[in-house]
Amino acid sequence: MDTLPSTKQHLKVWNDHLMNVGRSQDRQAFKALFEHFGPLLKSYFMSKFPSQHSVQMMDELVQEVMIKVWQKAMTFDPSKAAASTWIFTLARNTRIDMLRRQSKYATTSSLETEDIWDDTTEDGPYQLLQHNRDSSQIQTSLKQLPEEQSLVIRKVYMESKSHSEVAEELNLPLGTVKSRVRLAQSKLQSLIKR
Amino acid sequence: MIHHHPDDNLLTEYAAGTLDTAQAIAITAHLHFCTQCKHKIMLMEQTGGAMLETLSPEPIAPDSFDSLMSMIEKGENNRRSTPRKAGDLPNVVSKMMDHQSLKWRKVNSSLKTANLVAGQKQHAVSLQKINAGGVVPEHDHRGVEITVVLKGSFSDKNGIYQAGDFVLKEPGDVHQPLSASNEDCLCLSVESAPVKLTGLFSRLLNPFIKLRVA
Ligand SMILES: [Zn+2]
Repeated sequence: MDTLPSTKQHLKVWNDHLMNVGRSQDRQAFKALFEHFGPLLKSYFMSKFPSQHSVQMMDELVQEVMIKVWQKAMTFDPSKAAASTWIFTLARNTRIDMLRRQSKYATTSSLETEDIWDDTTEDGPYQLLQHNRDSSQIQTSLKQLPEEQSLVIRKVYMESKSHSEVAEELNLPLGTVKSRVRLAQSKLQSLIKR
Repeated sequence: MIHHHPDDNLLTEYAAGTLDTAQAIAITAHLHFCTQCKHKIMLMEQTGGAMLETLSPEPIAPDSFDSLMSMIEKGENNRRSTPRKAGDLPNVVSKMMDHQSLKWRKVNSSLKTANLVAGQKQHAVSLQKINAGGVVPEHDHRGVEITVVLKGSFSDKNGIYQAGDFVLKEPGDVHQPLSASNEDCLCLSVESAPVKLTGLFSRLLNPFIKLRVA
């Protein structure tokens, strides 16, 4: 597998690949994206749905995300978001999609997941986006969080657990989970903005 | 100018995609008006992207890429996304309004409400219209009620709320919204349990609430 992206150069590679898929349906670039992000996406889905679902289904969810990457790559704007950020939002929405498909009520609605959770980078606030930092910087910031905060934030983002689910699992009062999330977010945001 | 925003916990749950659909609709409606929160969401999503990069990769079936490409070639899973209309109202709200016939129900002389189909059962999602100068009956909240002002403004004992403002009431918060005198106020409401009107009956039960005559 690829090594962790640690330089701006490396991150630019994924942005460029996405641009090429968007501009010219570049299959080589798409394959490179698949090989890098596919296994990470699978890991993401597996942490939300451990053992309940077949391995095959996890692969299908990964494919579903990558189809969206292919179809929507022309809307990707690297000045607004990093490739990993955008792909994270697609994965998040694919997971929500799957849960909505399982609910009998969702079909009564005219709303698609993307109407509720925007996955475009197009209409982001321009003037505010000097903060599009590379993910290695955020990874460094994540490592600086106290263990109790990073544990909670990881469960929230990667295991897709609601605050109350995290509270239950860690046997903590909901208020404690909420304040750890807030502390972590304000720390991350101050580190990112710097 | 927007003065009332969702807190970082709600924004985090939205960014991580764990917020329930109805409450997420309220957040999206707020984001339509609020650049500040939109920016926060983008930063929070960056955190998600960075964390994704730190997961330990899980190997994928070797033929997965080829079968993906053949799905793409066959045009399966081709999804047409409906173009967004630029308008005053958040896209998520106008889309719900366009796909159903709204049935307005009169609550009292100044308040009308219409249910919206949001594809879930945890919350009641509705539009609320307060006539210019109208007063909503004083009410308590059995569950969490989120109100996003879409047009006009209203006020209660805690402040004035204008287009885009996001107001969250916890169970036990009693308030009596009052619309601005010069224009109708339209709000999106997301409640986790039916709002209980505290009228003459509950005045006896709750002596601390002064009942004002509307
Ligand atoms: Zn806001």
